[in-house]
This record gives sequence, structure tokens and C-alpha cells, in this order.
Amino acid sequence: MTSMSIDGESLRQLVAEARQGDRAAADRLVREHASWVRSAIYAVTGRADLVEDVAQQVWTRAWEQLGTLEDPRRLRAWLYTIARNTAIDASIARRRQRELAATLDGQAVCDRRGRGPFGAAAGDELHETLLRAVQALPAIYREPFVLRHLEGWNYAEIGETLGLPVESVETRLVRARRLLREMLQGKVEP
Amino acid sequence: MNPELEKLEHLISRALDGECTSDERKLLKSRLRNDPQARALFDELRTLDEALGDALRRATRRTWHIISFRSRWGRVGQGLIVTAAACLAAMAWLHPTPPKAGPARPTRSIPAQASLTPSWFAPSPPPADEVTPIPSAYERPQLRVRGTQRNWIVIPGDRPGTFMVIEVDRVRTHVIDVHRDF
Repeated sequence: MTSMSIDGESLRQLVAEARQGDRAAADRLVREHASWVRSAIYAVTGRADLVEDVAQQVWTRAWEQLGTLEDPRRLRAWLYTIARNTAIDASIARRRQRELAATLDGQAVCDRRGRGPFGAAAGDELHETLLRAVQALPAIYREPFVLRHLEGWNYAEIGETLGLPVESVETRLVRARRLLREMLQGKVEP
Repeated sequence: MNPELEKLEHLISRALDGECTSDERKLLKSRLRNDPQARALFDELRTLDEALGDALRRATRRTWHIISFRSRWGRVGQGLIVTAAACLAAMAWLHPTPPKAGPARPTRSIPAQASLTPSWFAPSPPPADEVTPIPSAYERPQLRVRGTQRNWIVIPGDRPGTFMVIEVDRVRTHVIDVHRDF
């Protein structure tokens, strides 16, 4: 779970120092936010094998654009926007690459998502089925669902990061569970 | 969708996410006690939630663990290589390679115990190729190799009247005109 250890004033100071090129401040910011940024990337892409590459791009973009962050207290939402955009770009690029490769091979494009380094090695059919179900969720439901489970954030934290009211977060989580229940009907025994 | 069922779904979802108030918890408990369908739905959603959360954590932890494991061992490997290189350099410095056999040179012999450096802080032994004064019995060889030219390099010593003389027999060279018109 991501620590929320930095209070508003410290965060403002940390961001100001990082903007001035203070490496220690930048390191601390990355340490504090790296975990949930990864979860956010996973929430958007639904692919664990993309996470690390995209996370590096996210931090590169974040340092390039740090000057555009007007209110350091909104750092999380700002970072989430960068993470989401970068993750979407990476997903599109990967899909195009796969489609092109399939076209060149003369094979039908098949969805191999979830067969990344973890999927194939796990050898657990149920595990893969569950992940595929999460990946099949529309992004607006998947994002809060993944953040809730990977980061353990409450509705307010998810809402703050995604820029949503708490009620919307709740509704999206209810719908995510409903869809998952339909998809996994009879596959998981109580 | 049945509004009653939707309400129940919201309540269960809030309970699973730990967002219920105490009143909502009481309401849910009584509902689960009295309504078998609500109980079945709650059990199903809770089982699904646990299984999905576990799958997500396993998936991400596995991949990120592999990556961090690789980078951590990469760093350890780099450290080991640097340490090994440092050890080799220290060994080479402490035990220099003995000079190859060749013609004897007029050098001062170094005491055996001085050739070993007991500690890094001990005074270093004198250099092995220190030049000593030429003994009076020394006679310059008369033999000259044909086509060579004898030269001397004289370097004054630190005391008056002392010199280091280096005698060089070098092959005689000729200047050849280079024809520029070919």
C-alpha cells in the first residue's frame, strides 16, 4: 500500500526542491509514488509486463513537465493523468505492433493479453481466468477496482486521484463487481 | 435492474471495501441473517473479491519482483566485479611479476627481507633498477658491431662529480634522397 506520509506543506517543499534540480527530493518523490504509479499503469493497461517500461516513461515525462504542476497538493492526480496517458499510448503502440506482426506472419490477430511473464509461468488456469476478466473490464471500472485492490485506497483517495466524486467511485466499483460476477459465473466457488 | 437488489449490491460493495458506517453494517448483518439470497450474493461477491485481489497482487508482485530482483542482482554483480578487479590490482601491486631472465646488470642487490612488503604502511623498498657506480675494473668492450654508432647519454648526479652514463650502440642510419618525380 502506498504511504501517504508526506503532508501538504512537505509535499509542496519537496516538489519545489525537485523543480530546482534537487536529486534527493526527486528520489523521495519517486519512492513515495512509485508503487501506486505502477498499480495505476496496470489498472489502465491490464498488463503487468508493460508496467515497468511505462513507469520509466511516466517518470521521464513527469520530470520534463514538473514545471507545469501548478498545485503540488494535486501531485497525485497530476501524476495519474501522466501515467494514464503514457499507459494508453504504450497499449496502443503494443497493439499496433502485435497486429503488424500478425499481418506479416499471415496469422489471425489473437488477444494474448495476460500471457506475459507472469501469465505463462503461473500455470494456474483460474489465476489466468481471473486476470483476463479484470482485463476485459472497461477501463473506467477497471481503474478504481485495481487501485482499490492493489493500493488498498479508500473511495476518497481513489476519487482524488482519478478526479471523480466519491459517489462515482462507489458506483464504478459496484458495476465492476457486477460485470466480474457475470463473467466469472460458476468459475469461483464460494 | 431491481432497485432493491441494486441497493443490496451497493451495501455489499461498501462492506467489502470497508466503507460501511456502523448503521450500514448492522443493516447488512440483519439482512444477511434473514435473507438467504442476500447471504448467497454476499458470499459470492466476497469470494470473488478475495480471489481477484489475490490474483492481481500475485500478478503484479511476481513481475515487479522479477524486475527488482534482476536489478538488485545486477547491482550485486557489478559490485562483485569491481571488488574482484580491486583484489587483482592489489595482488599485482603486492607481488609484482619477476623480471625476465636476461644479461646481468650492475645493480645493487636488495636484501631478501626488503623485497617483501609486510604492510601497506611500511616504507617501500628501493627500486630494483637503481643504478650503482661502475666498478673500476669495468672495461668498456672494444668489440663494435659493424654498422653501429656508439653514443653516450650523460646525466649529472645529485652530488658534484657524479654522473649517470648511458652507453648506446645504435644502428647507423643513412639519409636517402627521395625522388619526388615518380
